[in-house]
Amino acid sequence: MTNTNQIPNSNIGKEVVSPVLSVKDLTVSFRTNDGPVSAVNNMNFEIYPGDTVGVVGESGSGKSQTFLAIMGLLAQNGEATGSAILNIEGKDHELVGMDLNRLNKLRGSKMSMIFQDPMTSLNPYLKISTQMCEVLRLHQGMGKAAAQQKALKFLDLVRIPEAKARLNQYPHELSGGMRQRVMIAMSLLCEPALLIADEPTTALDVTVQAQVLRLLHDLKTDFNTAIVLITHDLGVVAGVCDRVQVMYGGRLAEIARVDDIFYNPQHPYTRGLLESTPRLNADGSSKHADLPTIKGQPPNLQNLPAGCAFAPRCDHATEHCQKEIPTLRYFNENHAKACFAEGFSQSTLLHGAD
Amino acid sequence: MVRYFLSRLLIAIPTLLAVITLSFFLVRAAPGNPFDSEKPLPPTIRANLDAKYGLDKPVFEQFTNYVGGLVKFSKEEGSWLPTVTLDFGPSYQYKDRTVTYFIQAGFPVSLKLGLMAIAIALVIGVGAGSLAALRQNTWMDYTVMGFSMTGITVPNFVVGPILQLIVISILSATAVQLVPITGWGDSWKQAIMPVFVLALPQIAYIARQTRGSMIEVLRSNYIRTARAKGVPERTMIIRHALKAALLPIVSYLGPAVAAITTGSVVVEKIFRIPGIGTHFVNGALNRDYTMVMGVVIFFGALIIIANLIVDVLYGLLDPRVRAA
Ligand SMILES: Nc1ncnc2c1ncn2[C@@H]1O[C@H](COP(=O)(O)OP(=O)(O)O)[C@@H](O)[C@H]1O
Ligand SMILES: [Mg+2]
Repeated sequence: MTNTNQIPNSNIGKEVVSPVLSVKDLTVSFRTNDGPVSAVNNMNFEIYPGDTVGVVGESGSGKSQTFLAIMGLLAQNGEATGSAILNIEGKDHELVGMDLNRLNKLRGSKMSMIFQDPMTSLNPYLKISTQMCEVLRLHQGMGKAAAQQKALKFLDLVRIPEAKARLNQYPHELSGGMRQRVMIAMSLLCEPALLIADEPTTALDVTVQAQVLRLLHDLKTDFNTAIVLITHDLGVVAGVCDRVQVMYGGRLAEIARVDDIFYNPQHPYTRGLLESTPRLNADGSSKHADLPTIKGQPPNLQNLPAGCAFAPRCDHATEHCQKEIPTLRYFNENHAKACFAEGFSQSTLLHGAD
Repeated sequence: MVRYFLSRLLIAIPTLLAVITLSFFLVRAAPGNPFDSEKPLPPTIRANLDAKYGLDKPVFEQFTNYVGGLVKFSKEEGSWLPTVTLDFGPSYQYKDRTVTYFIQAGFPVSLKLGLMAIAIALVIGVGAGSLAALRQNTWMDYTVMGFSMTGITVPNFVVGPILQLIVISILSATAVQLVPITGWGDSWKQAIMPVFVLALPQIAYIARQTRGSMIEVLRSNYIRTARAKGVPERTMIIRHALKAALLPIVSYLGPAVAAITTGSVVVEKIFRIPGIGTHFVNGALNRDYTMVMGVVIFFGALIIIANLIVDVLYGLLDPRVRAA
């Protein structure tokens, strides 16, 4: 077992690739009337080109704020410290504290983000074409006609029917699923190195959810874009992601390849999440009723415990866990956890691997 | 949209009728008579005058006569459509002039005053409100909000005379030359004071509104999307935020026209401007029934038309309304 903080390259078998995003000690806190809220604490992770990384955790665990901080989109009362380096064609760009003019050259072109609520994420007063072409004219200096042409091509790419007519429509004329496709098309226009999708399917119907996820999955092969897929639903990451980062209380609890998350989870919180995730039975029914839930409450971010934030809810917690915060350590090349407990063997998982 | 507009247009007619009815009886309910004066007229002359203007008839008959006489159709030789003329009758005070004459003479002045006030209110109000929103909770924000609180609460019949007093007494005679405090039409400088006093409450209100809606819009998801796209701050505000933030202001323009119209009555009197408002005040003081009625109906129609225009404007700006 290698106990090292050095994060190894996950792209096994490939030559050494440098990460497109390296995050070190990223911390986000908010000033509020009731004192500071530490939403994200000392996050360390890397995203490699072309990877699809799932970020899962309960609502409020800091998933969104981590990536909003990276995009420079925190609310006014929020502040990020630490480092987040975007590597574009061998050149490093420190995103934390970057001035707005330089940041705006990267946002929408080298990295882009789509959001949970497609109904409100597009400007209701501007035509789809205006909103899409704006990106191309801004970042690629395209003329109107060329931009329209490219926008049309991307609407086709995200499988929007009658794309040409859609260009001249306003958002309210499109369904939620269509709007999210427009958002995806818009975010890919400049072929960014990094696409962050924050719960892109949460607000959609189940059937539409599947289509949008499938689309993201397929697009990944067309572009070499690294995708971060934020979700509170472990089921969503299964079909789409290569790697998964589990967050709890504003920290990373576990990082692993997607198979290891499902079949060999090592953090008690990941195990709890899995046990409370509904699975489809062979007959298509799911058994919601007898699902165990993780006991206790999510941590209070204004008053985090001195030790592991999960300790109060953890069956394996020791005195040590109450006193010291476990750091994220890689115990093999692709698997890291922030937990003092001994490793778990696969068979101890409640409803095992199926 | 078209249907909506037509229905609004239809509602305008009963609204105007209600305005006419209400003001007719309110004016008659006021004590006194157009021909009352310090020195009582001999009873025979008085009776003759009453008979001439129909004031000896029962009030209800006077009302039907008045409404019946308001709109006149005349058909000219060779013309297809009849010409419609509005006739507000003769002024009781200036017996050789019609009310229509005074309205025609005063309207260009009042219109100029009102339009300048609205334009100034929009420019300053929207500018100051946006600035306050973008610099929320800074001294700039507090200053704008402080001023606008004052502008809303202090009425123009207080602000006007106070400003006049300041210019006369605290400043000097040269100040009066720079910023004249009465009159109209001799120099553009005469417009400064009345336009400002008339616009002040509207500046204040529009600034508050703009600040509020701008803050709300800047928090919205589509502004976050614009930022995520790398849209520069200035473009983001102008292209993405301003339109949504200004829609409430557009719908406020209707009430603003009404407020400016009523405000102009006071302001014209204070600054001795020969607009409709001055004639209205003089008419009211002299119980010049037809003059008061004529101005009220004219203002009523003006406000109704302004509101119709605002509705159309709103529909043109908001694609969701336009489609409906
Ligand atoms: N503007 C803000 N002011 C104060 N606290 C905030 C603000 N935005 C987010 N938070 C806090 O940050 C925590 C993490 O939020 P978030 O990252 O959005 O969670 P999620 O994992 O559901 O995406 C939340 O518990 C929330 O209370
Ligand atoms: Mg979230």
